[in-house]
Amino acid sequence: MQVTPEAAAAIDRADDVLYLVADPLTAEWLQRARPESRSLGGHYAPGKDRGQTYAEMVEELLAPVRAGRDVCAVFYGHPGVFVRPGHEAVRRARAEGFAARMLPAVSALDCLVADLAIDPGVAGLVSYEATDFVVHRRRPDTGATLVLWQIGVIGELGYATDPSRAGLAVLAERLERSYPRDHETIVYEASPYPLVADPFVLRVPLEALPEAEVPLLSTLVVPPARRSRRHRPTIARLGLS
Amino acid sequence: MNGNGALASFLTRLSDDPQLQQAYVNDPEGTLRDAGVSDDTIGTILSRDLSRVKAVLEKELSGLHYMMFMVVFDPPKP
Repeated sequence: MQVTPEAAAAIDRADDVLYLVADPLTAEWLQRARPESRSLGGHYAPGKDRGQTYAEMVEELLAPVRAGRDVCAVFYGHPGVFVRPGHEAVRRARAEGFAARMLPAVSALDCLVADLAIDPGVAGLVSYEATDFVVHRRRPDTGATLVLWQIGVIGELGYATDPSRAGLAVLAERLERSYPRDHETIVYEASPYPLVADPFVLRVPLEALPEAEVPLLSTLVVPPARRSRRHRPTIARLGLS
Repeated sequence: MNGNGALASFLTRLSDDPQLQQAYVNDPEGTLRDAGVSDDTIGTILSRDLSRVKAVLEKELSGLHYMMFMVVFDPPKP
């Protein structure tokens, strides 16, 4: 497990530990480390509005804070990356006059950078949540690496057990406006257990994405399709020529 | 918990124990067997296939709830 020393210390010293995690081993580890810890996952329910779910999670986090207790909220990956209740809980706690901080951790993007040997500094990296990308008709910079999160659940607002083929078709169609149909993309899912299991990595041409094997929690990496062009006047202005 | 929980216990110890990690690198099958992991599960772990490893853990630790995905899109109000 990729638990930072700071996070482990916070978990150890808190009065209350509540968690929302995506793999059974982390939940098991938390329950062994802090047997009284509580999962926030019980707030999920089929057909239930996600906004309501997140609001209830935030309230469950803040209730002991208001009672004067030191609360540690544990979220899968980085607690601030794709974690609406995490940010909202910190914001509300501060607004109510309580001290609150978020400790950085290892996100799926950090794992992706390591597993796929992608340096964001080389060609640039832009990321969007996949539903956001298609709904807002984002126009990608095809000279940079594009990372699209949660491609397995495009258009899903509640529970999902299988990837949305319709959502993948919409995504492929949108991407084909900017990239060649045979442009190689990478379907990726980080391994929560890197010592014993490899990440899921599937290289697939864009046109084959709608029918590809796509894990529910996977990310799509679209490598650059062209080299970015330098602007000579800017180079000269910076004294780089 | 289903089964004897040997795999979950082993993986928890593995993440914190550098000596056990080295032992696993040197002899994964032997290390798993010493930890009481069943032959079927050993075969799954040696495959390093993420979906298979997750399936074994979810079966061993059934009953625990996991986060699915984060909904970031708020549908337009009617």
